[in-house]
Amino acid sequence: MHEDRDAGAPERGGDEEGLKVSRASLLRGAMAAGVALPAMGLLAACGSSDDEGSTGTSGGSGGSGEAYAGALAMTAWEAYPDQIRANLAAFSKQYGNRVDLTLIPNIGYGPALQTRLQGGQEIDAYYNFAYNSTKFVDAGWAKELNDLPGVEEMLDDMFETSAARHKLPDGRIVSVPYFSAVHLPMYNAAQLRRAGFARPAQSLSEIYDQCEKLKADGVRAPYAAYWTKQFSEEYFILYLVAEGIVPFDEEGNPTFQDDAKTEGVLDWWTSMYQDGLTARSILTDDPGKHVAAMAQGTSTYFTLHHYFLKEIRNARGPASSDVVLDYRIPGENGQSLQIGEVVQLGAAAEGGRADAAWELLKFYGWKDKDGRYGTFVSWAESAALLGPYPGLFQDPQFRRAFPDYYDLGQLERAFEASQVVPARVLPWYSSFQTKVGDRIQAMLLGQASVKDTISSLADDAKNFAAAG
Amino acid sequence: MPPQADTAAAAGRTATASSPRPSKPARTRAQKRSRRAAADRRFGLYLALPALVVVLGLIAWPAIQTLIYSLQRVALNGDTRWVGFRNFELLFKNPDFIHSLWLTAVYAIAFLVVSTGLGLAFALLLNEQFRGRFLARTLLIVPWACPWVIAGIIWKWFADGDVGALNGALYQLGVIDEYKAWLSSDTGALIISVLAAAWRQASFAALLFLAGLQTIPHELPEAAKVDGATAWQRFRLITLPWLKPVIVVVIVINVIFGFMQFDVIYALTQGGPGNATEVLSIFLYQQLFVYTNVGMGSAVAVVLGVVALLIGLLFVKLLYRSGDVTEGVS
Amino acid sequence: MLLFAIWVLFPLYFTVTSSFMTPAEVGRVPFHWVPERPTLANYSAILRGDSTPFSDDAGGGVVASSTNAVERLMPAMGRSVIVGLVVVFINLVVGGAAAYAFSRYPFRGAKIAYLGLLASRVVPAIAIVSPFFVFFRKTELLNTAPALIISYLVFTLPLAIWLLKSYFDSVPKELEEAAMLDGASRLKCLISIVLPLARPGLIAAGLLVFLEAWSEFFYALVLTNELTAPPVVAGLQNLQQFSWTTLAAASIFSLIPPVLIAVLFQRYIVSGLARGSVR
Repeated sequence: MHEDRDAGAPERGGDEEGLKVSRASLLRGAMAAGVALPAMGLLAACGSSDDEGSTGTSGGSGGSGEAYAGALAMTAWEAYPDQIRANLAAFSKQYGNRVDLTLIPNIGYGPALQTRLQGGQEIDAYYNFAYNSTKFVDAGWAKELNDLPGVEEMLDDMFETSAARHKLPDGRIVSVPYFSAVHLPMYNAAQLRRAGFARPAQSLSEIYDQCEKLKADGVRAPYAAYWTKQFSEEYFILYLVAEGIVPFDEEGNPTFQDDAKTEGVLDWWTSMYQDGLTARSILTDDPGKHVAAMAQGTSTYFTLHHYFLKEIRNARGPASSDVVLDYRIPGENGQSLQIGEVVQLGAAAEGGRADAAWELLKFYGWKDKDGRYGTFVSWAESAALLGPYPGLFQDPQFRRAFPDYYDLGQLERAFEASQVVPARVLPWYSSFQTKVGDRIQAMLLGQASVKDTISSLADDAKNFAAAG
Repeated sequence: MPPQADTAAAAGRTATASSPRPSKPARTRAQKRSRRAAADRRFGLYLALPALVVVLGLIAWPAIQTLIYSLQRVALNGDTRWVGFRNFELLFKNPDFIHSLWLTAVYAIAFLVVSTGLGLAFALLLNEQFRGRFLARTLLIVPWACPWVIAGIIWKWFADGDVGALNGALYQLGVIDEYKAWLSSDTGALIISVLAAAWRQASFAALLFLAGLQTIPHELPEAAKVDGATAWQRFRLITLPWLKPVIVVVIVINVIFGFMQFDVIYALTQGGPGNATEVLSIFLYQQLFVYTNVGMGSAVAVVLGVVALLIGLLFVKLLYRSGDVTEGVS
Repeated sequence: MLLFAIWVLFPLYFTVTSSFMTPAEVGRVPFHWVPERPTLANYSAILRGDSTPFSDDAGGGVVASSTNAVERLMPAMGRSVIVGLVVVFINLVVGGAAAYAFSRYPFRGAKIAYLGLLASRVVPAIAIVSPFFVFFRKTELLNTAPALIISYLVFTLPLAIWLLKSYFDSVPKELEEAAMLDGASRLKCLISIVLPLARPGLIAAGLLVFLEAWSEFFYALVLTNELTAPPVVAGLQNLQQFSWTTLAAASIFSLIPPVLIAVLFQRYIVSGLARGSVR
């Protein structure tokens, strides 16, 4: 509900040419549709129900250096909306700018955001998936953050590995963190004990063997993971990294195909599925189902972001309290994959408004005025999420946010040692990600051999990277 | 859309000369008649104009823009470069696209057959007198009232490998000996995505057919009965011809909905597993929003639109061998 | 009959029973056809605005729900109804007029216009969402009901005209011709003779239009922040908790308005048509 400010804001140049034509012709169409429009005018009032006090916006942007006191527009996907509002209220209190929040359901966030930005809607700050972040900067929908006051300090404040998600190999800084997490295995300790295993599996073959025994003991689907089309890529990289395979070189060229161990990983993956050690429906199951399976005790292992343990515990199933975290991914070097989504700075605002928007990003993705990692603490409290700052782990309120089934020291070490895989934010990466989903699922269903899958994936990555 | 011009021309060729209007020519009042005919035409134009303006006025530019983009390479910042038919060339060389094209045809036809066939069957059933008919007719509407996305979600859980009632029932009936993950198998996912969409649309078809059936004068089937016609003969010789106009409407709408179906598949499988349910609308979505290739996406949109239009017209022609879509408009 | 019952009822029954179950019970094998201990928790959660009734949020200090979808459901349904009704109204007036024109008063170029209307339905909606967005941004209609109403009109008018024309065609012309000989104007003929006879058709078309508008998902998501029912209900889907039972309740909930409207009007379609056609 902030289009009222569009008029005063500077027009975007360049790509508007084609749009103007469309506007003219469409407008003419609408004018002629005079029969319909008056009725709609009446409805405009009842349709837009939430102009919660959007008066008093100063309209337009001040000159550079001039403090901007107007409102900022932020778009987020719908995760803990009350907490987002609380955080934004805290920002307004410290900095004076009101923030108009637009929430889009997760299910269509990507396309909705893209259409809005492409269509010239002015958004000062928005959530984005890390894999889209560079692409959006290239498209001119988000600003590079280089040279903004404090950005280098922010990167210096991060874990060294985590900074690679925000700063590209070519030196461009494209985003600030929204939250971070690390992939870890959650497992039902009681079930393992009953099956005669003293510790959780530490290698891929050990997972297989344990799951085989568990299945024989009557666990319906011993291994659970979010192997859907969209998430196959995360697991692909995770399993490679844990095995010590380098998936991409520094320029982002695929290197996984040259490592002999890759084949072993995919062989293992295929047999886990084909030998029935997972639910058959794992290719389409949402994490919520796996959480329920862990809580009910129908699965023993669940590998996904560490914060799902809290969901399992909260689900209050008969097995919920038996589930604990292992802080090492089974594999040769046990390293994990670190994930995180990002906040980006909208490209439209100039001058004082852009300055204010940058303050919002720093507040949201780093520290508040008092030097506290306020938003990260709030995500920790609502969902056990992490942030990429060592300092955050020292914050007493942050530490208190984690229930005692988390060993925060171990969690921090696992997080620090985890890899970001910088190629995952390159502009072509989301295309590759989709391909991985297709190919891995085809492989699991036995439609493509492991060898072919590896070489096709390497070709895909090369082609996408070459196309830019 | 360019297809418009094509189809107009095509339809022009197939048009029948018979005009439904002036039923008996009155030569003596020829002049008066022609004046009146002109006024009639004007009256018709005024009546139709608002709708034409709204629809064609709003869709013309986006459609033309899509067409233009399909011949261009469109950078994300909006820069465009003419590339001729390169996008189409690349598309038809892309095995994923060809797969998707076939899949779309299979999907659309299966959807058409299931939703229209079941719709007709249900309409015939609910046209009979029986106790609880009102309740049955009411229930019939419920699937139609489900938004596509929600029909998809309901079926996603209904066919779920762990909690789904579909598995539950088949298991208890002894048809399967363990729960099956329908959506994780190629054919299973395709079948379920057809059924989920047809579940909603069969009710729509049934309701329209039901309305059509009600208009059949009671005397006709009864007279035929007296003449010794079997139920099948009565259906074929009386019911079907009577319903023909409705059938054409339903079939064309179902063809369009079948080819354009996105919501249900997106909610159910997102095109998976692998690319087993990646119909053109999903393919198009990916081109636009994942590969962010507007030029290629537009080319896919053009192909999808043209295919849907051609198949739609084909059905119309088959059904109206003696007439055409525009019967009554001449 | 059996097929009908299974086809229509089975998925529906599953949704209804699920909405009275806990997540634990819905996962039992074999399936529980009748909830052992029916719970209203899913429904009361929707009324309370709680998206995860079966999960503790006791971990941290702050109790926060991961989504507001349930809170948004009621207002979204209200918006859906308003948008749907307006779209139906305009469709019947504007589309009805056009359909009548195509049926009775073909003007020069009518055939091309008619085919153009039908052809407009094969333009994939996803492909043209971007120009629509720009249009509504420039006309400052984003986030308003008119943005949705106009979009839905574009997509539903061809269907309504197509359907209505077939109904108008079935109304015998002789009645109008007789009235005209008695000196009635064209408009009077339309209003006093044709409309009453075509009422079932109008209602059928209105229902089709309403349900299509009610069903639309993508444009609502892109063009508005406040959303209509389908994206809000669908927004419950991708939660980190098992949410099917709550989702089922929300789905059932969101079915109430369209089913009420449909049931109210279906009698007119079915019985009214029969009456109308007695010649």
